[in-house]
Amino acid sequence: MTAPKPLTEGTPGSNEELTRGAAAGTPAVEARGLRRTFGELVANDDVDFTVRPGEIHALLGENGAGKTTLGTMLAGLLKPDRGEILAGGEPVAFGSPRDALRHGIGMVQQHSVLVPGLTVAENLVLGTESSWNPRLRHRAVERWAAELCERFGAGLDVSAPLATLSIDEVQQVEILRLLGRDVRVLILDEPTAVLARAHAERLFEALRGLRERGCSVVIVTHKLSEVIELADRATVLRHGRVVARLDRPEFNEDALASAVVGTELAEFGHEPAAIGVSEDMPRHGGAGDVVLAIEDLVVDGERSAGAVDRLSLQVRAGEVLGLAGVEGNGQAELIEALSGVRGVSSGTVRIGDRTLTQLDPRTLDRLGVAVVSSERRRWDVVQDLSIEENILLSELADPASDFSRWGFLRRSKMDAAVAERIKAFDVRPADPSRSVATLSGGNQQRVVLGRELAHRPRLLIAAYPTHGLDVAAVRFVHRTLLKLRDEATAVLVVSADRDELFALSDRVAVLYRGRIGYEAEREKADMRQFSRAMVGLGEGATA
Amino acid sequence: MVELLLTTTVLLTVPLLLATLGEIVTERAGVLNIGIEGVMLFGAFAAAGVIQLGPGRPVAVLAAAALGAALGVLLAVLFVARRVNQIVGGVLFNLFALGLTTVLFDRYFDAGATGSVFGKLALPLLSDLPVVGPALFDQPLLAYLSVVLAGLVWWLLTRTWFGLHLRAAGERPRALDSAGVSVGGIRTAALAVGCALVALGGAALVVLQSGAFTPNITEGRGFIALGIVLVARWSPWWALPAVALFGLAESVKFQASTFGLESVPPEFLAMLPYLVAIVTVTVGTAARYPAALGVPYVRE
Amino acid sequence: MRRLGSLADWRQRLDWRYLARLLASLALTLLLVGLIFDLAGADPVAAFEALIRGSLGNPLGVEQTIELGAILVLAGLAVTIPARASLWNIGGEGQIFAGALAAASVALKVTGPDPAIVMLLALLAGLLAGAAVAAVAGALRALTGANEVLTTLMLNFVIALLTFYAITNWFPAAGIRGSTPEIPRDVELPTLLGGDITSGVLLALACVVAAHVLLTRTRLGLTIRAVGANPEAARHNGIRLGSVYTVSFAIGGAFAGLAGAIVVLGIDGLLARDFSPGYGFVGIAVALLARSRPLLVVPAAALFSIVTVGGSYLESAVGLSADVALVIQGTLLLLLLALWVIPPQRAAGVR
Repeated sequence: MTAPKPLTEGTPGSNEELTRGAAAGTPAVEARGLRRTFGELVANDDVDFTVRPGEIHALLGENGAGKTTLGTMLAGLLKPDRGEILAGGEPVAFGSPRDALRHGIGMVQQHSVLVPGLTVAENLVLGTESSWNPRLRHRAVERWAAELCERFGAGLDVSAPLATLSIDEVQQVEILRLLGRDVRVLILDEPTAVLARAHAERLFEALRGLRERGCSVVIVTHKLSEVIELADRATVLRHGRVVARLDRPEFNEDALASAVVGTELAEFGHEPAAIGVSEDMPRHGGAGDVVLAIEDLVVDGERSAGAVDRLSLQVRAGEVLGLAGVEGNGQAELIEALSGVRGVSSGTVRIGDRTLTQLDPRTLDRLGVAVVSSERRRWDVVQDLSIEENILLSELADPASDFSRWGFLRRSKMDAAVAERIKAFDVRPADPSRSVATLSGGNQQRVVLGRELAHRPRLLIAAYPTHGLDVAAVRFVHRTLLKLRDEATAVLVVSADRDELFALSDRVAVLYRGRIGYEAEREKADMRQFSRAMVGLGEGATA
Repeated sequence: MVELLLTTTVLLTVPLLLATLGEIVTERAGVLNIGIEGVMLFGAFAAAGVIQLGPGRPVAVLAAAALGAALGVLLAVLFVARRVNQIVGGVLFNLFALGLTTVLFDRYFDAGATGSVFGKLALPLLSDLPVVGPALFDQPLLAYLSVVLAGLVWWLLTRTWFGLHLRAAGERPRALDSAGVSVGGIRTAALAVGCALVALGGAALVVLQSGAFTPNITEGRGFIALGIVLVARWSPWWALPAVALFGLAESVKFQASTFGLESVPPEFLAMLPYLVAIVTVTVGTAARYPAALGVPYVRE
Repeated sequence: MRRLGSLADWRQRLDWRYLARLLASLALTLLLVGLIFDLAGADPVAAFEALIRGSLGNPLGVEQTIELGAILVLAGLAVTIPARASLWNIGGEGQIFAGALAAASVALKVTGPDPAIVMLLALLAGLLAGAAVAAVAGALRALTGANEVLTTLMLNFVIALLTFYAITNWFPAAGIRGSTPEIPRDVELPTLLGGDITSGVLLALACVVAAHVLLTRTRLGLTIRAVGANPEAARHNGIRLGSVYTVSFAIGGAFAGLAGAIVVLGIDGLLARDFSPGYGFVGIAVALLARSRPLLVVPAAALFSIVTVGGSYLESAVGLSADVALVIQGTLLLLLLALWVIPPQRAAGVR
């Protein structure tokens, strides 16, 4: 055997099983009562999901809704805690992605699983033959790869090194790799995230072609426009549960948007107490001067230019601005730029009366900007150091601060400051010499808050501040944020939790594709416009 | 003059070439084997030991290769299964190897005994060429074999499925894992093959030069091979001229007098190979590192 | 004691599974080494006994153990400081040579000032030479991205060769066996209590305290630890990674250079070609065993020293080569690593 088996239709024992069931009405893949948790987080809760042969099925929802988790379980990358999966009507238990492949199910994830140093052909055949096979005939392999490309209409040079391909071509190879292994159910996770419009069109064409051949395509997405353009059916997830199933004839923007975002007014009978905002907390009357003014900011992301795309935003002293938006629309890049960790391509950031084109941590610190990020816990807490060393880290590292003299740390000064902060932020256990690694997530977050907020900052950027925290910790964080607001700090909160944002904020804004799609005072917010902006359907917003 | 220079160059080059080829195989799979020095030492030891026991030189050479493969599996347990830091583990292994070979040498070997070396094999016609003939084509069989091995390594890496998977393991092990191939298995096999070649290099030191083992006979050649792998950009073909360059530097040191270089202190000539390595590392081939080199793979 | 981290932390780390693995490593080491002793034709029990006797059972042995221990302490510190910044200093050997050469040069060539001053200058020269060599590798890494593992490994050889050259060419009337002439008595380091043990030992212990204080009580030490534990967080808090890398490497090199100087000025009394049987590499093992904690470097170095000195005694006692010490040390460390008594660190790779 010198080349992989050629791709033919109707190979006996192949995954035709999945498509043969079309006549009998058997779903290609079915999930029943799937449940999956990560620690305390319930990612999928009693999810039922069916994919028919020869259909394009959209799995729709915001980030954190559980769609990627569902996809990875179907593709054998993750095991469900409860529930069952059926392929072609037969129950299966996937121990590895290889098992799923054998049943004809494959997933193209957001992170590439191709090898840049190999050619396209080599990537396509990787793993299709045993390592013990001594002969790898390049010509035969390339011929097979070329045939595969031709069969699915991809115009690729199979002998080219993968590193020379553009992003959309790489994605083609990812898909072809699965098709070459006889995949009949193709799961794509946010495939258009890095694609330009024209390429997205080409992808859709290809997917329709696959559908004609009897394959099923599951497209995991948060973009309504794609669903409307492409899908035959849509299943909407929210907070890990299936909230809606729609067939194509039922598609309309508003129905989908409200399913995704949950805008029925009943949803917003939010209970302030549950999120730590008590009734008797005075609402600060009116905001002060503009503290943060972002103008036409452009920040490049890891793989794409313009993750933040000419963004303009203002936050005033004594106000909380809540920035909503599905993850992946530029939040990470914006936060990194505002904390001085990522460079700015163009545009300006004004803090108080200082206009900056580039930001660095020291300058931001001196200007009174604090950043708290729960998402990046790895980024923010130094595990090997003690509580006191963490809580005072930036001051201790600064040679100009009071805490060191002639290079030596002044313990007496440290002790006083640390005791104060531990008390103010209620860090438990309260032993300053304990290693931070032994603390719970909530207490670690308090340490970070203690580090960033000890000197009342002018501007606080809180990114996903309560992600992964227990109820008590969440309440504490909310109270702290509001207290700062009352003390005239300008607060920018970025969160995926809409309830949280609406409870905390004075103004809300929606971030979509690197720009503000909608902005309003909380009390006057139009929920319909808000939800539409979240999924890219705002007036004047590009889809 | 030049003839003699070339002849000695080739002889000095063979052990280095074999070690370099072995390390290329290992590193392209993503494992940085600093313990190459120790493996080479063990190979030399095994070869000399077998020679002393009676069976001829060819058997000795094969025994060394077999021992090398076994050591490769042992190192795989450390680096792949137990994810021990490859740099530190390699340094410790070298210490261990130096100690063990010296101790056992003391006990079992007749110090001062010299074995015989491999005889030369003149290739017909080619060895009659002027200048290069005797130098390049009148060498022991092992010398020709090592060049053939360079070709074999190239073939292994580019023309077999094992080689394809090996290269993937060194560049992006996650891709290989999701394609359903065991990364640990591939890396273990790479270590076995690579260390077999390195041990062969150690054996070559014995059977080509002195016929006997002395403590620390490798004297850092394994480390030089690490530098050569970089110069050769992890390609078995480029290893040939790269090794030749280093071998030349070494034989110039030996032949200094014939070149009127007596005035240059021998120590400075001896420094040449290392300085070349430093310069090459600095001038930077960083972009071409196998991307996953030195990082133990864990499926997330 | 507050500075050692709270007791609660320690209790959490030393659970019974860990202790079991530790004991297993020790037991396996004894077993394997005993086997090797047997293979090498010596009675294992007699050999172990001779090992202890040779290093601790007689005055000369004790003296050698203490002096070697001091050198290994410094070699261990040379690796420890950069290790806290998550860097591996493989160039200890070269840095020791550089220190020895510099100290010998000053001691033998600088005449005029008070001998005591010359001695201090020689020590200083050794320290600076080691730091300079380490800084070169660090600078190459910072400026060109050259991998410091390979550059320091190669530099070891370059500096050793330079030293060999210097011994025969820079000093008057090269001594026998490839060494410099002896250093004048009054330039040598004084001995302790009128005995035979060099005061270099005290110097080494002082360095341990200095290293400990550096890491736990100074701003620099804190930044080094922060960078080693979480470079991104360190950067976020305004710490400059490049300078931390360079400085920690230089400090490590200084310790190594001092080790070389002490050998020349206090133990050998001259600079010999073969004065270092791989101290730099053993230093890596010492630092590893000490889990990169300066205070633990002392017992770790003591263990290695006992094994090494005892090993050299084995030759006359049971007919085993002195290099058996390397076997014992290597086996012990490899087992500790393999059984995760010393846990695998965050994957760092070659970059």
